[in-house]
Amino acid sequence: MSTEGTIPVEAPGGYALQVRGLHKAYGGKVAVAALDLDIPASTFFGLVGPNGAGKTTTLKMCTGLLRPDAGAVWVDGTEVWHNLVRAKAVIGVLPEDLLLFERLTGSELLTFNGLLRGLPADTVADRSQELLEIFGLTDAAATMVIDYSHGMKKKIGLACALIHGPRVLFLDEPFEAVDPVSARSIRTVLERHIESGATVVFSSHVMELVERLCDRVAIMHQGRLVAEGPTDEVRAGTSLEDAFVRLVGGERTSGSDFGWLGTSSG
Amino acid sequence: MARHFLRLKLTLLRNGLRSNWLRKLGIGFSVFAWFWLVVAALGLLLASRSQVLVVPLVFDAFFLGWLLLPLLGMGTDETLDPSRLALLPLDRPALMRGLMTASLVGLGPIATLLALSGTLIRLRPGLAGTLVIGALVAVELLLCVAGSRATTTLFSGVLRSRRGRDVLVFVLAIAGLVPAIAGQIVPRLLVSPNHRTITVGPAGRALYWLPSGWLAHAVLQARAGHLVVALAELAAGGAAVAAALWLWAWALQRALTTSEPATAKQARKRPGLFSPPLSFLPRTRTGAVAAKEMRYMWRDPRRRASLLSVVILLAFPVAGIVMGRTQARQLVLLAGAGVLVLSLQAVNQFGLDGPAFWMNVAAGGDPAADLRGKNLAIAVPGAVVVAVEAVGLAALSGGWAYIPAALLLGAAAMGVTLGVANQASVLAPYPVTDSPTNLWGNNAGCLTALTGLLAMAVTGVLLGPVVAAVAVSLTAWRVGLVVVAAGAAIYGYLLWRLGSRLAANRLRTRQIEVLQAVSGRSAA
Repeated sequence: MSTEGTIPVEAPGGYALQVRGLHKAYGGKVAVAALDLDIPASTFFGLVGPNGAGKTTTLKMCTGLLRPDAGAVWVDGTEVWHNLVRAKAVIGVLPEDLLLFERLTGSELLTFNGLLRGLPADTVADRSQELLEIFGLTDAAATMVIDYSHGMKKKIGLACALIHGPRVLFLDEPFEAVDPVSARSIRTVLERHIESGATVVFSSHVMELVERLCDRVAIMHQGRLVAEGPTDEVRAGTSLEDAFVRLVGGERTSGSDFGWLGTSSG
Repeated sequence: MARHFLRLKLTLLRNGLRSNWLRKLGIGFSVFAWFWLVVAALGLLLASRSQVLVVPLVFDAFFLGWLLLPLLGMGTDETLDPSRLALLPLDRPALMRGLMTASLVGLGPIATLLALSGTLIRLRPGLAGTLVIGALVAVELLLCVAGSRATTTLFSGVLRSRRGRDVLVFVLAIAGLVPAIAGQIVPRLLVSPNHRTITVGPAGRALYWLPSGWLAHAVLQARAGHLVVALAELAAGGAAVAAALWLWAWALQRALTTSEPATAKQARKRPGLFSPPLSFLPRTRTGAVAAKEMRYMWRDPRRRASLLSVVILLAFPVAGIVMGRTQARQLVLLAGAGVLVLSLQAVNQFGLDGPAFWMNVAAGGDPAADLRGKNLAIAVPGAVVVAVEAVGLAALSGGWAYIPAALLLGAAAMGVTLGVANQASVLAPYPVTDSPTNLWGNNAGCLTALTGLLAMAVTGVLLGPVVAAVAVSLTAWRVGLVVVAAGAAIYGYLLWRLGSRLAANRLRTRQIEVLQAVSGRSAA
């Protein structure tokens, strides 16, 4: 990291997440360019952007899963890349690709995660049971995760991210390909988490959901923030989807009117 | 329609040649493999004295190869999976014509034709015979292709289910034993009553049971001038092709209109992470990692297959005694060697976790605990294996006195191999894929072999002094063998501590790089 040594270990302000000059390039392609971001505590924060905007890369760098080329990240006042162990203790993560130890059962995976986090065994047992109940996974507790549906995998992944009671929760596309019932139970848990004073940062493509859930939102495009602030301010009187399309310049029209669509005679 | 499928197949072949070097390497490998198959088949057909054995053997081998290898994911292409074509508005005969045309193009059919044409060269039949044998070879090719299509379509649903893939990976992993088993079986098919002529024995007659065997029999009949018999068998072969096509049509209809089997509904309920026999493990990070690893040893088909191969390898010294080849009591000391095989699986401990290793990385804490847990998961079954093997060998050879030394030497071997394996796991981690078609890594075959060989060489060098000391003790100071073995165990422990400490230090600063290395392309 090029800025190592010049970054103050303590956070500049009392935010749940602060990012300064975060930068990452793969080969010659810049994925995240000098990103600055402040997220107040107890906020439901949405990070939106088209595919390849750099959302996943940003979340990975904020959670200590991908080393940045430059920049600093403070989570709950701790600089992640100076004190990985302390920072990870207050972070919960749900990655987009959901790569879990799938040949453990739901209950075994929760136990495994709790003990990895250094929690006492009886605390792990109690919390596992509660989490399985709240996510409606009790019946599937003894089934291997590899046999779970996509929605069930998202829920068990989220349960793993929550088991140590993190102060800041990072979720990459938590609602993608999730049925409405599972989405509702995930939302309920996240809202309860916010009420307890924690912060949730999540990326999503579902604009209506971000608009409805989030206090604050940031729109990323080509590795940069093109808008950030309270959701109402960012959408500026229109829907978030309209604001999004306007800001990332995605509204293209074609010369063709596709008059042939729907003309097949079988 | 056949024209479109032909063009699709040719485009796929051409694109394969244009793609990245790894894909080209894969194509190069299949050209190489087919080339040697043709050479081997031609060699057998042209050089063997026993055509009654070799002709059906080659015909059956190609037929069974075509039938089974695509099921194992070898030599498959996109045109083989009917589910990809389910949405196209094609009737079944058109679809079958197209798929059949596409499968008759490529390396496989050409190589099969080349190999089978060896019968014509070797047998030198007359004109009529040549025509009949040519037709028989063509029918054999059709039988291979139609049979292959029928089986892949029949099993395409099962192969897409998790259980089907698990069975497949397991079968593939132990497929390495096939040559050894075949080497035992093939010579038994022959009978040589007077040591001059070789004929097919009763077991060898089974070669003629398959439809490809009928065709092979017809080839020999045509060569002998019994053209009527040959033509009758040719007709029987043609009927077999028709039957394969019918089966294929039926399976195709079913595959296009039914969904994959749902595994989740029949999933077995399993006990918790620390349920017996793992309840002795500590409820800590180390214990959790060890428990997860040991559960995986049974549940992950790749690891289960490795375990099976260890058991098979361990059976060799036992078989040596049982078959009366040796009665040496010192053989008990070899019980420790089983550990070497088991620990070799540890050279890429994080690679087996794959991209899911992010869970350990995200958890923070001391990654040295992960390493200890993984080592514990090898040491526990390792100790059981050594103890059982030592007792078994002692019971057979009477070398009970060697048991303490064998156990101590097992501990020494375990310490040295794990110390080296920990270093290798952290210095050269590589991804291991779950794909049933590519068992040994994301095209990281060279790296896999190189890391394994290097680790083995280093382990060998470090175990050199132990072997030398045991050899000296056995010849010059037999009573002191236990002392030597105890010294070896301490030496092994110290090397394990050293290897683990160095590996843990590196892991503390390079955990993210290890994660990226074992995640393959999905890391970014």
